[in-house]
Amino acid sequence: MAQRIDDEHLHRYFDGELSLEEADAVRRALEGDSEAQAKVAGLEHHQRLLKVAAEDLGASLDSEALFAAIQERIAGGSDQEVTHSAHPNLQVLDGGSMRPPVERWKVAIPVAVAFAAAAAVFLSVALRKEPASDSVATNAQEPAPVEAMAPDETTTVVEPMPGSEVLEVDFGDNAGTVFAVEGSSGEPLAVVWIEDAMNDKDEL
Amino acid sequence: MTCLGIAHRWALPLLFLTIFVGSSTAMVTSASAQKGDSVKGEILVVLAKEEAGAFDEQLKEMAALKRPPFNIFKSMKTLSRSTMTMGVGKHTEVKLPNGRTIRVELEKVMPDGRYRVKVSINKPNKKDYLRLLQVMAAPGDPFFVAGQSHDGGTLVIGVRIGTKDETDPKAPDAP
Repeated sequence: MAQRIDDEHLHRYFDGELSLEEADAVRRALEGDSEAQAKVAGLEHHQRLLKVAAEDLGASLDSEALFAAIQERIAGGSDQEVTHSAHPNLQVLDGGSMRPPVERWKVAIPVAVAFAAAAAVFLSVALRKEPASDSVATNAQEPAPVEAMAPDETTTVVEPMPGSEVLEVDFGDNAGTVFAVEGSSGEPLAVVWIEDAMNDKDEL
Repeated sequence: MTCLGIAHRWALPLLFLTIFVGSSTAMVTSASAQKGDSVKGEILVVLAKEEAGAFDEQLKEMAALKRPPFNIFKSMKTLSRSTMTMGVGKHTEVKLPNGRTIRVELEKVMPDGRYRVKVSINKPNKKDYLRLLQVMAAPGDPFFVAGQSHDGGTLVIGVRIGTKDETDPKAPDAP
């Protein structure tokens, strides 16, 4: 009984892709395999149909004109004209990435100029300072208040929480306590009370 | 158009936008820091005694010194009043009558306008009396360090950073 031939080997045999030894083996197997023989006959029929269709398609093409167009394109002719004339149903679509670099710069430069102008305006406003006092007062005169910039209509002023509070304290070797007393406006004012049990002799 | 093509088209504008935002943020930050570069402050040193005696007229206006535990003191005398100009990261030292030195440093000006202050009191080559005190204070609102013994009484040190609004009709507890 002839060995069954798998479809892969059958197709490769039909396409002439098998070695001589493999092709002889498949040929011997075909002699006893009617099903494989029918498959080969089907492949031959299919091939004939394709050949007829290709010949029919090829008959409508002007190979000389097509070749001439290719030669002209190689010689540096217009792609669109050559392509369009040879194949009127085709059209060239601009993918955008082929745009010349100079066109991208035409967009980037105005944008950059706009940003630079905005930055210059912001700089001129932000760097405007009030004159600062540079003297250290040591007398009992009431110091000039240091006020924040006057708020304009577009800014929101956050009022600081009144009073004072202890964030951290280290009494070291001393005993102490932290509490608050009420100010004149009811605000809590921090008080740190440290026991001063040591005198200078007891210190280092 | 490929994704790479789209990215290339927006790369330059995005780059400039990033530079603009970054520089704006830096300028705002530096502008904020510059506000705290010069802050007026005051250190008041008061000798308080439990015995009846003279009471400094200016100290009578300070409501805090009338409240417990300060109300145990029947007499108060201003020993020194030192004004200072402080900058962020800079400190001021004032010598106390007992030989110690109080050091006040303006650590930071907070976004809400309050001041973070660091205080220490010590004597050179001696143990620290107050190793570290960190306080958050509103402009013009004082805090007090008390308890040091001196001349039969107790030293009460009031520290005030900045000033209240001049239009505030309420009497400030300014040292």
